[in-house]
Parts: sequence; C-alpha cells; structure tokens
Amino acid sequence: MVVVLRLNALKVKLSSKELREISQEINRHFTPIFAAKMAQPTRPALKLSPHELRAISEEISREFPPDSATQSTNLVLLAVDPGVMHAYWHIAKNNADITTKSQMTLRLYSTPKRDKSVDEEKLWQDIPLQHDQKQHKIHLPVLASNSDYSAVIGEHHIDGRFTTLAHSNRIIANSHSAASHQNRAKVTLLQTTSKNLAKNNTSGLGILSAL
Amino acid sequence: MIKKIVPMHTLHFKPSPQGFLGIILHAHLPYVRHPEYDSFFEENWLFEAITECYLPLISVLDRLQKDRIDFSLTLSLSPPLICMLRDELLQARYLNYLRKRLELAEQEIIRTRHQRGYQKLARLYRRFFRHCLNTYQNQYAGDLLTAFKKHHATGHLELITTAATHGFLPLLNVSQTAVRNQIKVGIDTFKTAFGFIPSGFWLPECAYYPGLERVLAEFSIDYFFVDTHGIMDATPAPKNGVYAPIDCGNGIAAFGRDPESSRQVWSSQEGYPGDVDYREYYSDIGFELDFDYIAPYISDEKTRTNTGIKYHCVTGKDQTKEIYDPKKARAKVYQHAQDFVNKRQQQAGTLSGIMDRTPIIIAPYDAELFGHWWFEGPYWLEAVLRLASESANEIQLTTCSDYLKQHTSHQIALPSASTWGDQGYHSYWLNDSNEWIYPLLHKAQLDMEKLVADLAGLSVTPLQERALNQAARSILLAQASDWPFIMKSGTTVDYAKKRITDHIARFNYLHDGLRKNRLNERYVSALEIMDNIFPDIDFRDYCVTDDNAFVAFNQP
Repeated sequence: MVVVLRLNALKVKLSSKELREISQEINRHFTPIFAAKMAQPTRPALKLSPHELRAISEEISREFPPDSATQSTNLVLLAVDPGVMHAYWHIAKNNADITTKSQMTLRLYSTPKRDKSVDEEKLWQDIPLQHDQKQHKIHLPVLASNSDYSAVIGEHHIDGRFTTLAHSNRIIANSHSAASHQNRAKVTLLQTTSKNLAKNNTSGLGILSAL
Repeated sequence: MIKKIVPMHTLHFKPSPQGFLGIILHAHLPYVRHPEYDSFFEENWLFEAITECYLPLISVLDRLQKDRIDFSLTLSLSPPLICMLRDELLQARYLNYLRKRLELAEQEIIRTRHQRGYQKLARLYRRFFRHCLNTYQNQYAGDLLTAFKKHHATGHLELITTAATHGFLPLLNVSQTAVRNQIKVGIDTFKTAFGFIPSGFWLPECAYYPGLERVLAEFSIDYFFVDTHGIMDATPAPKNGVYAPIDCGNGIAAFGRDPESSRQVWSSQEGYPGDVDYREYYSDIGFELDFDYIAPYISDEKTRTNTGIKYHCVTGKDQTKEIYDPKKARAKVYQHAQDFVNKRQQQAGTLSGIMDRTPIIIAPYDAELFGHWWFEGPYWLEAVLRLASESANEIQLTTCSDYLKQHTSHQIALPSASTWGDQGYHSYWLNDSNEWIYPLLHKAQLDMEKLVADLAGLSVTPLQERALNQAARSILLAQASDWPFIMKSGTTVDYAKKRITDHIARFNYLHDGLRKNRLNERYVSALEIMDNIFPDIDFRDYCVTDDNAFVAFNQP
C-alpha cells in the first residue's frame, strides 16, 4: 500500500504489463542464482518400501479399473482432421432397452458459420448405427463446409419419430484454405521415433510467394 | 526514480537487420518416475536426455557466455521435466546411471585395446561421461534448473513453459476447466521453479484451436507458437505469411513455424542429421555386443537397451557401417551451420524487400533432437548461434519477447486449428490405436468437477484435501499427450497403456474413497509418493464456476 501511495504521489502510472516487465527484469538481474536448493515436495509422513508401493499400486489398478460408463447417456464430438470428426457415446442402463424395431441413429447437425444466428437453417444428416456400437468416425463434409457441428443420438422409429437420448457438445470442424492446401508438400522425414518427426509442411510464404 | 532496466546484451548498438531469427527449443519428457521399483527402464528416457541433450546444451550456453557471444535463444521447459529435474530420487538415480556409463566406457577402452579406431572413440565417450558428471555434480550440484536460470539472467536465454503434463488441449476441450488447469498448473509450476511468469507459452504439439488464446490471456501470456498452416489459414489471411506474428484479437501474438528451417533439420532427404558422416543413432553396443558382457549395463540386466556408446556413422545407403570419425563430423557441423545461416540470410533478404516490416523467421525444434537423435546437434546449434551473432546486420537472433517489445502493432487475425503432427491436425492423437482413452479421460475430468462442486461449502479433512489434490494429479498425469502419441507410434505401447489405465484407476480409487468416505491414509500416501508431481496443486481449481466460488470451500 505504501508503495502505491508513493507512486501516486509521484504521478507514476504503470500498466499491469509494465509492472510485469519490471518485475521480470528485476527478477532476472537480482534473483540469487546459486541460492539454496529449491524446496522439494512435501513428503508424506508415512514411509513405504518399493515393495509396499507396488502392492498398493497393483491392488488399486486391479480393483478400480477404468470404466467409461456413465450414469446418464452422453454423446461427445471431437474434431480430428478437416475431413473427419469422431463421435463416441454411452447409453445409460435406463436407455438401453431400445427395441429392435427402432434404428439407433446419430443425427448430425451443421450450422454454417455465416448463418449461425438462424437456427432454423440448420442442416442435418442421419447416420445409422449398430446397437452395440460405441463410437463412429464421421467423414466430412457430410453437410456443409466451414460449419459448427453438433449431434444427437437417439432412436429412429419405423413411423418416422425420432427419440433423442443425448445431445452432444458443439464443435467447429477443423478447416483449411484451398490455397495453403495446394502448397502443402509432405516431407519424408527422419526414420527415427522422435516425437514430432512426422510433420506437414506448407509454404510459409503463402501469398508472398506470388509477389 | 524508477529507471528502466535494460538487459546487458542490448546496451550496445545493433544495426537494423534484414531479418530476425528466433530459435526455440522445446524440452519435454513425460513424467517417468517409479519409486515402486529399484530401477525402471523408462526412467532412462530422462537420464539419456540429461546426458545427451540438457547437459550438452548447458555446456553450449556456458561456452557462449564465456566467449561473450551475443546470442538469443528460447527454451521451453515442460512442467514434468521441471519436476523431474528437481526430484531427489531421480537425481540420485541419474548419478548411478552416469557412473555406470563411465564404468562401461572404461570397460570398452580395455575391450577395444587392439582396435585403435574403436578405442579412440571409447576414450571419447569416457571424456564425454566425465564431463557430464563434472557438470552435473560439481558445477550445478544436480540442479540443472539453476543452470538455465543463470543463462536466463544474462538476457540471452528466454525461458518459457507449456501445459502441466503436455495435455493435447483440443481433445481435452470438452471441458474448459481441463484446458484451464493444464495451462494454470503448467504456469504455476514454472513460476515456482523460476520465480516469474513466462511471457511465452508452448502449446503441446503446437495444438491450437480458436478460442484457446482467451484462456492464455487469463494467465498474462504474450505469445505462443503454431505450425505454418495455423497462420497461413488464419482469418483473415496473413499479409506477411509466417514471417510476422498475428494478433489474435486480444493482444496475444501467434508466431508461425518457418517451413524452410524446419525442413533443413527434420527432412531425411534434405535434413542435416541424416548426413553420412554423423553418428548413427541405431548402432549401439547395447544391442551389438555379447549379452554376458553388456548385461550389467542394460535394463535389469535382462533386456537389451541403448547404452549411449555408438561407434558407427550413418554411412551411405546399403553400405557396411563405417567407424565414426568425430573430426569429419565436426567439419560437417560447421558446414551445415554455415548453410543454415546463409539460407536464413537469403530468406531475410528476399522477405525484407516485399514485407512492410522486418521479417522474423521462427525455427522451433524438440530439444531432445539435439544430442539424442542427432549427436552433433548441440555443436550445430552452437555454431549457428555463433555465426548468426557475427552477421547481425543481415540476420539477427532474437526472442519473441524482444521482438514484441520492438514491434507493437500486428495484423489482427485468428489462427486456424492446427498441430505440428502428422497431417497437421489431430489424427495422430485420435485414431484407431488410441481413441479408447478419450471417454476415460473426459469421464474422470467430469467426475472430478462434480466432486469438487459437490464439496462446495463443506469442510474437508486434511486427509480428504490430500486425496483431492492427489486425484487432480492423477487426472493431469493421465492427460499427457505422450501416451496417445506412443500408442500411435507403436514404440512402448504397453507402458503408455499402463500409465493411462493406472492413473485413471488411481483417480477412481480416490474418487470412490472420497465419495464413500473410506479413504485409507496408507494408500493415499502411497499415491503421493509415487505421483509426487505438482506439490502446490490445489483441487479447488477444478471448480467450474468463477474464481469467487473457490472461497466457498472451507479450509479445515
């Protein structure tokens, strides 16, 4: 508070960015470099041998295995590539009594970005699913490019009715422009297993290359 | 009077260059620490990287400083790496690893006594390991973060960081809290280690989606990087290609990777590391010598592994591997460094004539390429930094922070969704080999958020608080982008699968124990010992409402 008052008295006005830069500069130049070693994480008071740790780890892995089942029916959409989306879902037990007379269906909606506000102009397409299916790869453009997508999963009845079981999240499908797509040249890469050896490469000049 | 503090290296006059060159190294390894075993194969990933990448990089920085070279370099240190480098167990195990390497080099000097060329190399490896030991133990007392901090203090090395466990943010974005916590915990870990908030943020796998810049803005980040097409496909189209940053509309700058500099290093046909005179990574005595001889120096004395001692060079295609000649390799290093700098100068010359501002060429690489995959990489980097510092009127080394201080106005445009992975989007991290992980990751995240929300306004006991914090660690560790990457690349797939399922199981145990009020302190302690990453984590960050809701939790 004292510092603030003095600064005010001197009519020094500093933005938060300036304050941060000054703080970083001071830190750079005046932080003790060879200070005592950094604090280590607090150790639990209990000491356990490697054997005991391993036994607990194995027991937990055995007794609490991953399970994607949720209490309620859910549906998730994930963007993959400009041409591909991934959908996965879980049908809760109380929704699992779907009759064989209905067709489990993924209904995909697209909303062209420019018409985002006009809900009525949503386009949709049905993708029939197997009853035991839990995920689906969706190849785009199913409906329209440059769109927001959402989906519902449900039963499509013989009489045309559609019973919705779950709504998905809304996603924006990955997109790329035609210009950069044409310039994209795949590079044969080092034959090692380093993390990011497989890369696309586009021309970084883009429109500059045409000048 | 408040006087503006100017870094020492910027005090002397610098002519206006034709272009800037920003070299960025991203250093990251997944959290590989297994106190439940006396030794563990995957911990060698860290030990190999310290020996072959981080210590050589520190030696490069030390030599440049000693020679008063005016250079700029950016280093991104991932939070798991920061935590592992400061971990006492791993520090002790690393010293054992290094001593065993030294012992093996001594053995090799004896074994190769009648093979002059090989023995010369064995002596080289002994010198190399001795130098590593001296730098690690005597010069920096096992604390390599101090070394990086020292060079940051000179103003030549900009330090930045990335997400907490290198989570692949676009595929975690089903929950904004998941993305926010990856970023927050990453920055908090960096701040605890280095004492300041980084200006830049390395997006794991350069994976960006529109809207991510808003989360970064919450944490006062100034800039991040995207792959080339992230800028080229921006909306509106970039006026200056990838050679000037764009302002995402909220003041945060996005820099794009230069494809030319990338190709020269990564490509197997044009790339430098594939040169016939460089050391061959895949020729390692761990796989070549008699099993009984090498057994004491490989994993559990049972499974053949890399030892770091390699005697051959890449050699020509379909030819018998020749003995590695360090002198020839060093000559090539200089030649390749000169070529790289020349090409950047030519690029800058061309670009400066057609751009409305001084171009900046962004050259980001994995730090682990330099020294591990490409043995001569650190020397090449050193030569590039030396050569570029000599030709400052044509191409000038810079950091993105320094560039942004000099250039304050940028075209406003939003990058497009992109990554630097194969095909440029998400398919390397979401495909037939790894798609099963996402329902599990998303469910655990949702369960955690619900649990924390349900606890709002309630008191938690110290043990419950520990369990909640540990549950947050388990979720973050499961979210690392390394696991789906490994599953796709097909390397250590079983380990990657086990890590994901173990972390989710650990979360499930803690979640169940908290929900049913039957936590066992012994088990919670075991998990804290095994997954001791992020000591300052706070489960309250999983509250999905606004920050004010955190106060609703009653401290015990």
